Amino acid sequence: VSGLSSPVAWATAVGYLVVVAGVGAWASRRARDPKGFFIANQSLGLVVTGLATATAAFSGFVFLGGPGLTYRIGAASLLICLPLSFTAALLGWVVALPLRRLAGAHEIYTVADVVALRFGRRTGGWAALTVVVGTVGYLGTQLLALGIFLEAIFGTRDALGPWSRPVAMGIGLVVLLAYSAAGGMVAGVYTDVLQGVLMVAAALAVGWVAVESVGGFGPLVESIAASESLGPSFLDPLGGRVSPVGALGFFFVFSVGVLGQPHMLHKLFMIESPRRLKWFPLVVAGSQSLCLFIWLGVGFAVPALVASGAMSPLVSPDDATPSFLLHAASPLLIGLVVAGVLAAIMSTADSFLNIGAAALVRDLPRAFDRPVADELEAGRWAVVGLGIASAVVALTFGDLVALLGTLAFGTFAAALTPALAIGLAWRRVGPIAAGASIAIGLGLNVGLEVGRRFEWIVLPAGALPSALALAASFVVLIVTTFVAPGPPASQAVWDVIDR
Amino acid sequence: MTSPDPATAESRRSALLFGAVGLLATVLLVAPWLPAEWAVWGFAVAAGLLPAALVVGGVGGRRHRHPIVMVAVILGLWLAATLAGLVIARGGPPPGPLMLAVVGLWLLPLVPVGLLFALTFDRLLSDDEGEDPS
Repeated sequence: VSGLSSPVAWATAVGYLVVVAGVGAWASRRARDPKGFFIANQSLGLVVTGLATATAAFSGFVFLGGPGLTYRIGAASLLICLPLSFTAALLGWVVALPLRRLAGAHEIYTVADVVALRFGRRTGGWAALTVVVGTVGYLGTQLLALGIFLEAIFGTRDALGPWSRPVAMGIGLVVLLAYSAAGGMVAGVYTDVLQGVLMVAAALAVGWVAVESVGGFGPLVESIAASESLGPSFLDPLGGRVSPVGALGFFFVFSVGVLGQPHMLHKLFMIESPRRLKWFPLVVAGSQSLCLFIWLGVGFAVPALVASGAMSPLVSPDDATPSFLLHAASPLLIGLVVAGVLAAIMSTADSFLNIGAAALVRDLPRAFDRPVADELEAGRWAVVGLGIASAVVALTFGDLVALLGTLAFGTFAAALTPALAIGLAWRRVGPIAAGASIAIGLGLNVGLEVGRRFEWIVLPAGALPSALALAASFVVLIVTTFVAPGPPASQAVWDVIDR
Repeated sequence: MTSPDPATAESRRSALLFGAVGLLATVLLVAPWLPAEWAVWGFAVAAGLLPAALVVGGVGGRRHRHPIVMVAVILGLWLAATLAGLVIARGGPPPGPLMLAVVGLWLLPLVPVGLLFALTFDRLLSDDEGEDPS
């Protein structure tokens, strides 16, 4: 991303950071107790909840990694993002009402709280452990991306040498921690609204400019299909750049796996009334779909431009968006994208700071029957500690954090989806089945990803570790439920779920 | 012969429907080890049906003949048909497979699914949840 530094980009970044810090200061007066800090007082309307859900789900990956992945593997990458046409409705049909009903009737601030209420505190502890593992990966990669991006915008590499990235990351982290620790989820969701608007505007503008830069969608696909280096297979989702089973595995994990993402489910506790969920899928899927224009536009335009010789081949696929901006965008558009990328990174990071802090000061202590006396105060300190620790780990073990970041979505999907999607709908599922499903999903996904990365394990062509772990987690939960059904679910809990 | 009481009937329906989810998950688990064409076809159909099967299991287990079940069945068949279409269209002339993915998985379901969700949502609410809190 070197070369992005310009007065407009600099002013946009500084302006953006000042505005979100201001929102944090305003929100700090509204997060006076754990309910305010962790679930924004359960007072949000539809649009705020929907945009907060959408932006938490869409990290910097949509702006940088997605187009880069398309550059690398072609149309197969689309099977990651196209299922979002129905995943928000899936959330609404399968888990939204039970989660919101439980949060209205009990002191529910986290996904682990739900698991603990339904299956007991030990199973809740497994869910909390999953959240901690996934948070380390997600938060570390967001902070790493934040450091790299701000470093490029402020142009600090020449002046500061080896201290450039830590300083750039530190600038972003101070603002992120200030609004997250002071304003908790109240600050998180209201900055998410601003961030969501910026992300949609930036993605639409760049996606449009990208397609137009090649002369429109028709010439774009024709030039890719005619290219010797790309060819028709580049445009075929199951056509050869990734094995068909691998591409279909993307679809499986990124459709059903949405049901286990704690940073999205967490937002469902915050909506003021269950009836506000009625238009939730259209708000979430609509805003996410608009953001996809950058993935589609830049993802296909850059290979076409490279194939035609108009752009040089990329050094790294993740340079697709920045390289395109430097090739074809005006300074104002670059400024808008700078704000959009910062928004995407920080909206995901603030969500993970909050749920990670909740896992550390609430979920895990409760799993061991050692609740913390002042969860609000402890939560604020945990946000700061978690942010600093994640930044240090990201700077020190960048490769490890990148690995954890790539497997984080799959970890949440494999560990939490079956226990929540089926466990909240089928009374017969007991603590043993839910606990085994979470443990198998967590262990198998991390184990297979690490084993494959270090070549300890050889999987069949196209077998995605996260898809195998998610399928195994479903099978374990259902088979265990048939073989060893749990004790009758608490009638009081079930009466709330099944009103 | 008397019909089973509602709780027993619900329990049986849930067991049957989530048993079907288990079968789909098993196909997805073993597919990578199957011969190539079986693997691709098995994975495409199971991955398309499983999201809808979760909705059918969750709603249909407890509420017999609920309208959401029909919506979910149509969605599942649509997704499975689109993914099967992608399998058939492999290697076809560009941009056919790309457009099939974009239109079948994204553009066509996007608004109807959201609208059908909203139109059927009130049927899931209890009487007091349906009241406007303001």
